[in-house]
Amino acid sequence: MIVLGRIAGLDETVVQKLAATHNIEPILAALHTLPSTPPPSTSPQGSAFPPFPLNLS
Amino acid sequence: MFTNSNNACDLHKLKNLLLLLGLLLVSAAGFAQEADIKVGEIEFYGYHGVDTGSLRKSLPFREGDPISRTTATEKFKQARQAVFTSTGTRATDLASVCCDERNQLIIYIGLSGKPVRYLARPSQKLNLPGNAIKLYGNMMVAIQTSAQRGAVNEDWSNGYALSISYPPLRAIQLQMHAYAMRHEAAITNVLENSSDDRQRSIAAELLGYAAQSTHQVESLAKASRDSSGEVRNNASRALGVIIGAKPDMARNIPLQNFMDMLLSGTWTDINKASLVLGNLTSPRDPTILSQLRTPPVLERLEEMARWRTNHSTVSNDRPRPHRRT
Repeated sequence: MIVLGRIAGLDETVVQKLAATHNIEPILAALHTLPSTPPPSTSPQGSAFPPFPLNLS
Repeated sequence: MFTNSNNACDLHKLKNLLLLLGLLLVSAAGFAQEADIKVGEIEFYGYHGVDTGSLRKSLPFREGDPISRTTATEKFKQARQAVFTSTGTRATDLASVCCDERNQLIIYIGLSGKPVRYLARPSQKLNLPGNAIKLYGNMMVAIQTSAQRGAVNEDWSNGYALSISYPPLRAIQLQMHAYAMRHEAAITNVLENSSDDRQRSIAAELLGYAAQSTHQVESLAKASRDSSGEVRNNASRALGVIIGAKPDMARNIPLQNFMDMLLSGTWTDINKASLVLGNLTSPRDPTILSQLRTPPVLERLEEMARWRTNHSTVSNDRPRPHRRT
């Protein structure tokens, strides 16, 4: 959550308070205001992840 | 919420919460004892497009159910089948972590993840000396005991983890530091070249206790792409601790490695990547933050942020004192 808040450009104190109260919505709202940042959960191309794994060890 | 601290004196009290050496994987080894433990939270990741409500109902366990070593293996096998039946794809991971604030089990179920290309397993027959292996074994036992007592707080201010709430563990960790200071080259050699996963895993842990250096960080960063999940786990945690104490060391850590790990289908990768990324973003370098602003990374971070346990904040956000992850 903190990383998201930092990406969203929120003040560190605010971010940490939001994390402490587990309040993600203001962070998501701030992310949506960033230019050319698709909201993660509504990305038009769908999930960023393929359905199955994967680890090419 | 990791905040850098070079002063262990400003530590404040935290809830008793621990990932037993990062986590205890569920191959039934995740249960420290035979006694039942309750399932606290069931969390998902990689679930875009999946009706997690229906999937949750199809699982063979519910939040609040007791589960034990003897029942876990079958329950998790059934859970994997339930995922396949519900989604048409196999779970990328199913990990149990001890424990949440109520000392209940957390179960993470991965539904998708991006492929991660790991390094080929090294081929040399190299082993650490017996005393190094014994140290690691002693540490594992002490960690388990400390977890059972809720004594899980650590001081990272030196760039390596030292228990501040369980003196026997701290004593062992100081021995590990002393050992690593004397034998860094041999430890690094095993980490980079041994064909034995366990040996590399122990070496990764030990190398975290060596003197902080560019070479140390580079070796650990390389090990964060190891073919063994346990090696990646130990190496990444060591890196997280190092840059938590010494942010300038972050310049030697490849961001892309940890972005890849964050998108992995494997929970340990996600957990440790988020630990490292939490510390890498602490100085708020605009370049790093910009690189993280991609839909896949944001999607995964949002999923993690929605987890109900503090483990999401263990990963991304490291309060002081630090809880072992």
